[in-house]
Amino acid sequence: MTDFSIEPLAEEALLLRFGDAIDLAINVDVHAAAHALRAAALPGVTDIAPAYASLLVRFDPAVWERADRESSLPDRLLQIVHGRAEPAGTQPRNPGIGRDEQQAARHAASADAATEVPVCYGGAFGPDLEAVAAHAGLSPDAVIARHTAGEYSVAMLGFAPGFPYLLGLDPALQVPRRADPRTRVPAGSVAIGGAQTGIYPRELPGGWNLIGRTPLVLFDPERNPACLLAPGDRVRFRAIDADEFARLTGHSA
Amino acid sequence: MTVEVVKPGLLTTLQDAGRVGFAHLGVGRTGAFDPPALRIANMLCGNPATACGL
Repeated sequence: MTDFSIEPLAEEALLLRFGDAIDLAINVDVHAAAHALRAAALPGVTDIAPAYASLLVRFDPAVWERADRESSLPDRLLQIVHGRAEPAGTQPRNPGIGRDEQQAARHAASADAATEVPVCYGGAFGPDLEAVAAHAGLSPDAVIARHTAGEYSVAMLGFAPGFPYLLGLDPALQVPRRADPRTRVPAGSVAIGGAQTGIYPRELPGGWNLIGRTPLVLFDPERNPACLLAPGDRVRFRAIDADEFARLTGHSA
Repeated sequence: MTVEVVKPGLLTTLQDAGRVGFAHLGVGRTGAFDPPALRIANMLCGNPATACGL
């Protein structure tokens, strides 16, 4: 497990800091820690939110103090993340973990099926594909080939409900964000911003480069689960044409 | 029952108790900025604690 520090964020929030880079190995540890903490079901803990290299723990201090006057919450978090607590109950979207959370998380990550996201690239769906290709010194088809060849994982959800920040972008496809962001990015847009890549779950402002669009619905508050992609999920992209896009529009899988 | 808004005020919004436990999905808590104050206001009005407030 990567070393981490615990710092107070607010009177009801702690931040576990594992590093300061966008890095798959660090993010795997963040998710292993999140899973262990979720399984521990600590009293008063209301949110456990992973980011690239850190983990937010929100809690109700009054509930924590009522339940446990002896230990500090940071001490308990340290104990649990360093692997002393066994997971209890089941997490539908997460695998069971053993004593070595890091190894188990990696094993589980390879055992879990990846979610396939169909994408219609270029044209009206990907107005920035040509610019990305030019920046990369590749043809648009080569960009598509590299993008669909990648194996991605959801580092975190944020910015908007269900917006996935994906790890695994081919370094050759990294492109700086646009100098002039759009006030409206269509829902389902697949985009690249610097070393980051993600999918806009609904129409939002955005400064990333749009290379394609998926017909899948990434976030639907009426659906259970509401988010198509959960933190830690594996993702692959598959190129489709406009006809298949029309056929798949509005689907969840 | 009808409701007549006599004077809407400068910026009156409806706020509930918020969405707790969804930060990992990118869903912000939102809701009342001061949840204890909303609970007290609801108690004073005889409302359920999590009723929407103005």
